[in-house]
Amino acid sequence: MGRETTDRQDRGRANPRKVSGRVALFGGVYNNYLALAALLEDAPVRAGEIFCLGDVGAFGPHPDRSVEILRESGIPIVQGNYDRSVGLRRGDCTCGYTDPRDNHFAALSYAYTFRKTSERNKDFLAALPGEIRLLGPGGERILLCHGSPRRQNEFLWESLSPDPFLARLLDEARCDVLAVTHTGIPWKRRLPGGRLVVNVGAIGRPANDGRTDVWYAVLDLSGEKPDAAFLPLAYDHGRLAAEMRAEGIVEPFAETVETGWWTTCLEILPAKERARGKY
Amino acid sequence: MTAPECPFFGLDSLWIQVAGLSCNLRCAHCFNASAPGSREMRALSREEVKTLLDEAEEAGVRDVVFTGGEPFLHPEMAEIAEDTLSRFPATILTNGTLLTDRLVGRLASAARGSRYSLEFRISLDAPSEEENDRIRGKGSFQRALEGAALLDREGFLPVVTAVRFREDEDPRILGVFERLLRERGIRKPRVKFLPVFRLGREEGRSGGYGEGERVTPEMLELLGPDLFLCSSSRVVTARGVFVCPVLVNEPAGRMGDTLAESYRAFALAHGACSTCYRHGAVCANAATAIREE
Repeated sequence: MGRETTDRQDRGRANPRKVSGRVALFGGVYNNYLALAALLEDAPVRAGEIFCLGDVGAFGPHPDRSVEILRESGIPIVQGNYDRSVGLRRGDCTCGYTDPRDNHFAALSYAYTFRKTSERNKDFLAALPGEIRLLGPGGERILLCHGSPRRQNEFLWESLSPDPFLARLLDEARCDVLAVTHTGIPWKRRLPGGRLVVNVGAIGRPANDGRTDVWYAVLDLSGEKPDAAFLPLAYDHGRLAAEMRAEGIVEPFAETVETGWWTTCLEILPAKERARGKY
Repeated sequence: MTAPECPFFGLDSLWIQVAGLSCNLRCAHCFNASAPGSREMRALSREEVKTLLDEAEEAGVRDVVFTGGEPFLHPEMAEIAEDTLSRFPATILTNGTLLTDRLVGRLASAARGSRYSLEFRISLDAPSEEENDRIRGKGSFQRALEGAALLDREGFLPVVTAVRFREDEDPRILGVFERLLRERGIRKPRVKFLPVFRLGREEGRSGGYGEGERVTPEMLELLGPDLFLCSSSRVVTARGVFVCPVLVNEPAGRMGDTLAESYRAFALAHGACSTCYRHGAVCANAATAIREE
């Protein structure tokens, strides 16, 4: 279950790409090709390089559109659990939900995405690397992955990630900056000693904050210590909701797009994160 | 047959048997046979828990879970929760019957001051008073629901856990529970079903596990060790460190005197391990468990 290290990961570790200045990080596209297009307008203005942390599919309409936009952009992509499942032609998304209600909705969007993703795009998703390693200007070891360094589908929630636990993950993964997505809610933590953990949120679905905007992160490597800022991204959410309905995607998903409140997959949320939402 | 070994990957969840096996209820199915006045296992002191939190920090623990017995029989449970929340996310497994305005108010203020979540699990074994009280004791239904409503009023989101006695139970039972909780003022009902562990008092009712009910090496190979809580958790009690909360009153579950001694593989030789296999890491928090049902 993702505890194995792939050859590709080893290669990345041995020879990480150098980055400096500002680096845009986004994840959780979830088929939201309209937000992805908005990101490709916004992020180049704010950052020199752009990386995707995975989960191209789920939730939204027309999965091939997002994959093709990403492929053409040449943006490096870390493989998410969804990408792996779709790519390997697996029976479910392995999102890591444990509640039957969460899994009910997860299964609906997976079935849709799987059916509508072309064979060529499935192969593309299957070949994505499990992690990307970068080297900052001050020698900072930067690790980009989907869920956590140890598991593609591990949820790193702010209210369930104490400092000593994060420090252990960073020690085990030998990195100074860790960037993840998978939960869909952005947060960051500066650890004692200066290391940094960033959950970049998701651009595919609002962050359960009552706003229709979605979020991505810009990692700033120009200061004394790496830091991150979260940027809201507006897109034509009304059009997305209309296309979701036209595709027969279930109503609760479209409602989330229009209201900014999560309506499904709520059981996975820890108490603090769930208390902030409407449902 | 040799039992397959579940490896230990590191301590993610530290369980603390804070109240020993002392409980104000005597539920018919209690897998560790907790009971009023039980002296089988003493409670842990606030100082002992503080030392454990230091060890948890060393180990890079993700969350701390308090269980018993009934944790709120511990005279310093509120202080212990405060100590914990300043450093870790915490979960308290309770029957909900001993919660008072003052206690919950104090816990709420600790939770608001922490960046970490405080979760409550409240046991309720049936959505009807008659059926629940037959298992959990007279008055437990009303008092548990009052406790849950009190938690809701202070901004908590208690998870109601119900033991599923029949595997073929009508799935609509979930809706019945949710409706009941909404009627009692719980705005965001969270319900989780747990399997029966045929141990402790339940062993006397249902006869325990047969010899064939064991995890085989092939079974472990098929689903992998991650689904077992024992791959990433340990339980500290006054009688030593145990492999999991279910085997806390079984000699076979004892892993040593200290946490350090318990960081090793565990042979899945107990009948209860087969229940865990079939139902996943049922004791884990939803937000951290990775098992697909």
